[in-house]
Amino acid sequence: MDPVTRLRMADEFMRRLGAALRGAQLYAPSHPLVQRALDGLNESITQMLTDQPSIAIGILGQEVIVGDMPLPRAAESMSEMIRRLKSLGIERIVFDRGVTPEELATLAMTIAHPERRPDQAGPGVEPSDPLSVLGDLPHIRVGRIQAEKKVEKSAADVATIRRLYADASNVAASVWEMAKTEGTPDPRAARALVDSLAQAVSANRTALIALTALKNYDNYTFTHMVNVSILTMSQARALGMDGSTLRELGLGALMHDIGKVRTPTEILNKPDKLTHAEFAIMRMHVVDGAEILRRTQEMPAIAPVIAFEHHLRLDGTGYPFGVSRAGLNLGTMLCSIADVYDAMRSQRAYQQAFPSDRILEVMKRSDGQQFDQHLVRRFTQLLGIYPPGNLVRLDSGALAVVLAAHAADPHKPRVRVIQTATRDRLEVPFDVNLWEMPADGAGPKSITSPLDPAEYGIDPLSYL
Amino acid sequence: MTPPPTPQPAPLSPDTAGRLSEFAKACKAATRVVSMYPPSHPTIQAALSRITEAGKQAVYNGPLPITVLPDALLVGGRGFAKPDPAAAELASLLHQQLIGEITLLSTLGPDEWHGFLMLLAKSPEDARAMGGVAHAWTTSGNKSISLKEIDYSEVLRERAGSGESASWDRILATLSEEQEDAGGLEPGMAGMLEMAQDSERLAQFAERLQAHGRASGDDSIQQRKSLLELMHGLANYAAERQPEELDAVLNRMAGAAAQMSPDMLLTLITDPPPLQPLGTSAPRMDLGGELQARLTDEMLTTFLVENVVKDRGASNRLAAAFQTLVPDPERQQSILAAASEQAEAMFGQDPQFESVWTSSTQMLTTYSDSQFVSDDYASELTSARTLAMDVEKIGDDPPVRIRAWVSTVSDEEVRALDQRLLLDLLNIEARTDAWAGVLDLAVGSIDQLLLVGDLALAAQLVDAVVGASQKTDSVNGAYAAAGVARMVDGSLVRHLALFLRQATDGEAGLAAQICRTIGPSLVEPLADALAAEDNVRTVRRLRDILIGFGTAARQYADELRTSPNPAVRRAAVDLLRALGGEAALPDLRGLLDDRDPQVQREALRAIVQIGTNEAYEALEQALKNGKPHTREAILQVLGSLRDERAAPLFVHLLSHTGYSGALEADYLSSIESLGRVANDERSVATLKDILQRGEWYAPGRTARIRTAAARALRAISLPSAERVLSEAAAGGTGGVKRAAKAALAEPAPTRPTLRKAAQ
Repeated sequence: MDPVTRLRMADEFMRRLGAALRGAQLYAPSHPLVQRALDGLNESITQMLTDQPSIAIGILGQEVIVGDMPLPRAAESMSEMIRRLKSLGIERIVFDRGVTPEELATLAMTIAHPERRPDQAGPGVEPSDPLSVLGDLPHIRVGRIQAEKKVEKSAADVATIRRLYADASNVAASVWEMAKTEGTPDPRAARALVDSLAQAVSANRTALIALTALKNYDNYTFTHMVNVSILTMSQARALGMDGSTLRELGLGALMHDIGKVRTPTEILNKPDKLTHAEFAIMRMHVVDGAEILRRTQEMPAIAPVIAFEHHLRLDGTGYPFGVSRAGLNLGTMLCSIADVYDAMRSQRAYQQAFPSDRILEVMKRSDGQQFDQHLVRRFTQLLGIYPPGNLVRLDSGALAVVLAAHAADPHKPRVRVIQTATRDRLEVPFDVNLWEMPADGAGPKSITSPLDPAEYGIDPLSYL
Repeated sequence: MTPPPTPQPAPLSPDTAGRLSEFAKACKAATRVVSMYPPSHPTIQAALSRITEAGKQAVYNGPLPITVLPDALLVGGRGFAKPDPAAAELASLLHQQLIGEITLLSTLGPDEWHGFLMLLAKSPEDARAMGGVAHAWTTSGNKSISLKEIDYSEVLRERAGSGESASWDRILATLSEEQEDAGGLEPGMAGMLEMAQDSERLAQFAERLQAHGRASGDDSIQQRKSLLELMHGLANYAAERQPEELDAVLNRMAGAAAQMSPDMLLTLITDPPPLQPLGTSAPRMDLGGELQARLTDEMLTTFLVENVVKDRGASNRLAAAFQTLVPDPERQQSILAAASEQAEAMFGQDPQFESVWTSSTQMLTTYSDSQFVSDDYASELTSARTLAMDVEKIGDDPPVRIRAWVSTVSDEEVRALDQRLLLDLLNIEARTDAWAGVLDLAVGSIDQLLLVGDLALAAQLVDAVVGASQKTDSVNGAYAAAGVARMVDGSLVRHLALFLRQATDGEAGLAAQICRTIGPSLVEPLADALAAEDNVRTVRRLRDILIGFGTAARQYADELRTSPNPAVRRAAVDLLRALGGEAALPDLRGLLDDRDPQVQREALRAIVQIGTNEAYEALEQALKNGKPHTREAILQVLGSLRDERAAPLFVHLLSHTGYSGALEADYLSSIESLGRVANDERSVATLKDILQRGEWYAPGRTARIRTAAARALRAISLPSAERVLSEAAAGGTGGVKRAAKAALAEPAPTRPTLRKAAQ
């Protein structure tokens, strides 16, 4: 075979590999485009292997070498593929004669979705080790692999989760700062953070939700990022979502307000009500956020969509103006609910904190047309009117910490009584299921009001 | 849930397979196209022409009934020898629309096809909202296509024998969706009612429902709830639609209930009826009570025996069910005695029968959980049960709703959202620098979409970017123009060329549309790509795209006609033919000498197609002066011409070429061809000369040539030709006379319609 033909075949082979990987990233494995791309790749590789026992692809910097031939202009047209392979620590792939279409499909799906098991077509699966999967392929060898650093497995206990939450705020702050100074956030740091939070959401959702109840007067921006991510993932988890989809929604929620790095600080922190002009500038954060995230490498495609749409409402109100949607995607809807809830619950410079039940009333505003009321109901059930970690006063006068929501009656959670009506702190707190208490019996039956723990010098989380 | 692949049927004949495949390709592509463009769009017109032709071919031998399986099309129970992707896609599309059989009865015009395809292109939900595609089509009154919807009861009957689980899942899915669409219980419930003619099948269906729920991730509460809703729905449907049958239906439902698991039976008997949809106020029947009253002793006896045997003893759930269904101790004893008798008859030989049955009887008659649990634990159990019931009342999002939510963030939906986002940003971003950034993202996205072959999404972005580039008076316009230039200079054409290799015709049309949108700046890279391409199909498609650019592409024909690849040179011929006009004659004349016979033939046809007198003069020149292989090629093509302007060429041939030896056959063929196309005195005179020419030393050849000339004259309808023959028959020499008489005795041949020479 003459060198020109070999070069053309090598170029076509790499393009087909690129098309197969991109297709596998964007579409389900059974999608005709993916199948067609894989067929093309198989055809190409079969043709190349007719006169040689194996083909080696090497990646050196931005150069792609097939066999012993560097491909011209590879950096231009194959940068995405090069970046993706390198991010997995793959710098060399060898295809041996006899490679099957199934092996090629596994290769493409594994590289496209390293977080999924290859036999899983869609979201909702547990993460796997992609490189060990590739190592099992008989006719494909990948070289110079460095296994991805595993996220440290978080324990389910409250102390660990508390540390995780504190760390999360710090990481969110660094992600924010990088977006502000570099123009794009650090996707790896954000991803690692969301991975940890996702594990915690699966392991101990109650404790993590309780942590979001804390009011942090200094770091609102960063705790809000983390809280919205946690609350979004909690809702998604309760819908049965898991794996990469859960984490992508969490990442999108974490970044939903990242466009505010471009909002002037004086507007962002203005204690008074914003003027019309200032509010117009503030509204730009959704567009800025979408643009920032859309050009951030390794950011899931849903993230800029969530940033762009999280102030759009189902009834067509909200902003950005001039944009219409027949419906909103689940990521946007869950993030919007979490965003409004957390923003209104938090102590803000320009507004007072809202009691939880009032927040939920507001979320049902406009006759419930702005949010999907089924999702709002689920959110209420998830958190309870008084979310876990809330300090509350009972009708008996005693103080208690909410332990867990009771889905059947969000007003009557399980509580841990910590102080008597006569203001005596209990040495041994006791638990009460408020929903079980007989109406005509003795003891507390309901919550009368939520309380600010700071006023009472109580750390509710220490009772969880 | 992915249905299992359909078993491979016997293969179709190649002819039918070809017609069916072409129909599937055309129908699938046209369905996609009609949903994307307005009716007057050229893409639609092309797609409709194709489906009209494919439809015509499909009914060439009469009506064509096509059975639709989830992933395949069959004709007369036969399928494709090898998987046909287009047929599979069309099958999937039709199956989604619940079409089980489509019969093409007669040909349809483009407008009729458009109407049909518009129905097919609807989403299944929309189609169902209007009563289904079959219903809507029937209502239109068009009889050229007959549609048969999937018959649920038939499917269910088949299921009973053949284990077609995919069909069950389909029904379950349909029922679930129907439950979502409050009030829209047709046709799934009608199928259920049909199925309720057989208790055993109804019981099997209930089990399948449970399994379906488990597979969908439903918890046991949700599974029970689904069963309850389905059975109540069925009973109420029967009460409303077939009240005279209600009693029989309930009896059979009771029979089915007795074949279910104790849990399922308890659910049916004891759980409260499901909530009614909003807006309905009709009272619901007490199904539990109705069923309990209809459970005969015989049914209960069998119920006990089967469950005890299956579990090798009585479970507490069976005991609870028994206690609930038969509270009367006396009746309990009677049923137990019958059950014991029945069980002994069946399993009495089993050495463990005695002990199993005794302990079971004890459990069934003395069942109470109080002896197994403490008071505290009993209280907790009660509380947990109450809690579970309460949660269930509130957490009533059906799996269908949850799946619908989750589907909005599927990979494909997110791709569409991403593309929508870019379009929105291009539209609303008012800051120039930021807009330029968005433009970069859009251009990059177009490249990626083309790489993976998602041309539908790419086309919209291309429209937006090119549209912006045409606003030449704005800064954004300049950025957009630069973006378009980047696309043109970048990988776009290479990606397209790769894509065209495997694209369907419809997709290739979309690729052409993208190229047209980008404009003539794409012609040069397209021509370069064509020149370097070696795949015949890609060459043809790139050629078509280039031709679509009109004269802008003409200049690249020169580059292409020197390509070493014959396919590319043929494309050059096509370009010259389509775009060159008469001015292309010199180039085409040069290609007549091409070393590749196919290129020669194409060039020759192109010249004939130009059809001017100059074109024929060029051919005549080639005949006179061309290389031998050129001449041979010209002769081959000329033989099939139906154009009277070709007559001078034949006259030239007959006047200037020999006819002895191997040349005789060509010579005779030329005489015949001249007779077929000639309509002028010069031809008549030439034929007359040939008729009268004789060679004494070659009598056989002379006779053959005279016969051919006489027949050719007979074929010419001019009076002069007839006169030549008559004179020859009356006064010619022996051989001439015989040939002329024989020709006159034959009926005058019917001449095909000829192209006329330009005046």
